[in-house]
Amino acid sequence: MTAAAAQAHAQAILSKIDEVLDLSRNKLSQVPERQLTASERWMRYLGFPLGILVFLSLYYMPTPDGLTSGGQVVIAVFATALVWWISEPIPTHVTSLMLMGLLVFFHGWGESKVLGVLGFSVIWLNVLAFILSSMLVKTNLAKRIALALIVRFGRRSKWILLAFFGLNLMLAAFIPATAARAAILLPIIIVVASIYGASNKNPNNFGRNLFLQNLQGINFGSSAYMTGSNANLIAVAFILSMSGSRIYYTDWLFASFPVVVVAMLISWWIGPRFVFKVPKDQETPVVDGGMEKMEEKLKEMGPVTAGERKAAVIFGLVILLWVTDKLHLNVFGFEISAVMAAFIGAVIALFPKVGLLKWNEADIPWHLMLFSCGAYAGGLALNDTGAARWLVGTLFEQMNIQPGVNFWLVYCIVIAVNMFSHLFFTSKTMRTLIFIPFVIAIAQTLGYDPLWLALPAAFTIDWVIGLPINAKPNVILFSTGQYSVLDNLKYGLIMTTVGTILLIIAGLTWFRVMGITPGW
Amino acid sequence: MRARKVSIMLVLVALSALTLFVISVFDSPAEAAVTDSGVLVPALPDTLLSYEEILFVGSDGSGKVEITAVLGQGGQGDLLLPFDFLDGTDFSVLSGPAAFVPGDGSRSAPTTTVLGYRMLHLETETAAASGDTIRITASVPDWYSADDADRPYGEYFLQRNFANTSRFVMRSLRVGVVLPPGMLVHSVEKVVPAYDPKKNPSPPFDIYSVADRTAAALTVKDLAPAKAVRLDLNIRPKRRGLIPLVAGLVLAVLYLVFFRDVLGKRKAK
Repeated sequence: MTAAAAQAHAQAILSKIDEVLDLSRNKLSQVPERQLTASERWMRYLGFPLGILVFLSLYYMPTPDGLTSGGQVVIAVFATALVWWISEPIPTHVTSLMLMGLLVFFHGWGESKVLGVLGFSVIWLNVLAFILSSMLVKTNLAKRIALALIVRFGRRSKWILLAFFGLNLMLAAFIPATAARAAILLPIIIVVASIYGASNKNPNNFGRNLFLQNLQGINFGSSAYMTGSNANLIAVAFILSMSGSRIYYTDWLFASFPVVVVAMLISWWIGPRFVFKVPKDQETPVVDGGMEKMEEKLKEMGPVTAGERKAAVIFGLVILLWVTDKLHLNVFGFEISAVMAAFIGAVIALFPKVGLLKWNEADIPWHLMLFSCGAYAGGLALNDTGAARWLVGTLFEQMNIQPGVNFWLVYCIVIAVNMFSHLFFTSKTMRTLIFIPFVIAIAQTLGYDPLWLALPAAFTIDWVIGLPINAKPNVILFSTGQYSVLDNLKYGLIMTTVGTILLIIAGLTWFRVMGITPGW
Repeated sequence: MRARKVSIMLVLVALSALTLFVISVFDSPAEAAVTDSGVLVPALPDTLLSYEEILFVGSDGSGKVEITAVLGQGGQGDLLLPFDFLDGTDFSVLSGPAAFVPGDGSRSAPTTTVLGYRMLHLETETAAASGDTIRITASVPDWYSADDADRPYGEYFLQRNFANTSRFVMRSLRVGVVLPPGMLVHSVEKVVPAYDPKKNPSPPFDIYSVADRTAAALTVKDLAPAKAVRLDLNIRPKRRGLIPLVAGLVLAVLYLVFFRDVLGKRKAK
């Protein structure tokens, strides 16, 4: 090869890298298209009538004792939406709109309440997070961080996946808002996915592993720390007020942290090997020349630009406010919530001359906001009408757990029910408010120390990894279009099962040593 | 001169001490009792250990109220219990150590009006003791008119109120309504006292069945005199219309016919 040809080849490679890293070609606000498998096509074809049948059977069945007919309507609508969200006969955001309409038309929940969901802080947080994310993408700061991460850990795809788990575990210790963590990581994950050839137009198995493992890391990573999520603290407060057992930060940390680390390692190991097998060509960056070219590209970016510095300062300010939320009251006299912190960052980012972003450059996936609204409306209506509480109560009642039953059988049932119940909830807080008191009541009825069941049950709260509707970070990551609802469900169910088994093993061993479960 | 000043001061100090003593004696709780050992203790409030008022509403809107009161502290002798209904007939003490006192004025009902509130007037037997249960029943004509409570979506509004107009603290109060036959609770619109799930994991109301009829009841602990509770319900007929069934089946068939192309290989949104 002549020198000129070699130079042309190198140029071609670099332009390929530019192409891969050009995120403007894969806007989140565009609803992605993807190729369906034969089974997905059949699910899509049969999913719509199946959803209707589910609705009609639940709607017309006699109203059970303890449930209002409004609650029955909400259960029917939510179950229908679940069928449609999973089988996707219509786009997920259209399912959400239908869910909201059905709730109003069948008077499951009031119109003003349904429409009011669009103004919820979680929706605002999503919108603002996408504005901040767009700022990082526009200024190339996201690209720089992602390239640095790749250069450091990305020689093989497996190391970059492990690095993200580590990053999530670290962030969870400082930032309790899971949506905030998703917002921080989103632009970096997108760039890394691009480098390995995954985009919303061309999703691949590396991308599926990357996004879904981050979804898991963000969610059950919170379970490692008592302060990892607000729901954890509510559970601890319930355990204290209802059973008198005080849980200290270190109690939680020493008990749950090892479980989370093992779960992350298992997920990291099985994901690319069995769940979404990563082919050889996706194990390294798609660009010819591999890591050397990446390093070259990073060097080519030169020193950090003024725009990047400004983006880092704005984003750093938001992160600082997120991390220091407990100190706000003393410093400012009031608390700046996660949403308002993002609000400040977004206003600065969009402010003419001061900021970095014009409105047209903000890549906000509004279809995702509508999807979120439907999920939240359904979840809140389930809670508001008492239907969620009725479902949980009936479930435990049907199990007919009586005094004298072996403790470990009860333990396994409680862990499994708590763990898998997340599929039917859209809020961890709601699930905690409903489940933990039930678990404490069961323990008290059976004559056990409530701590034996309630604390391990509390460790399951953050395992909200089965569906995009189950938690805020799930919705944010789902917006990228790099995986389907079914992909999420498949990996989520596998890892939920792993989590259940791990907590049962921990209950039999590690928790016994710590005095959380009854000793030998 | 100096000795005079000292004696004046001593007198002032003695007077202050006496004043404080007098105040401390007269400022003791108004309701107080001296125990056998001579210790002054505050008197316990009059209580009913539990009080239940369940109203059975008939198809014609008439009601039958069943009251179950379990006596507590101070329930002996004259017993005035709340009866917050416009009219009442067929009063009867089903069981318990009490009998009605004939009504005041022209009323034949065993009720009396105290400070504008209608009360059931009973007298308990001298042997009545804490823990004794008194069961009372009465008919309440024209309690509910569905026509006046019509709401959208084929629903009706039903409000169940209870005000503790008695002198008793009700340790456990249960106020319920058994809906007219063929009706069920669509939603619980409001509960007084307000219920905060973050403070109390269980709601204060429950929905249950009584002889194939739907009932709803509100349970409150320690309701003080002059306090009120309320349960606002939206109720509707059990039978649902057939339009959703027909529309749903038609939509399902139309989808299967017109969306067959979904099975063909294509990129889907």
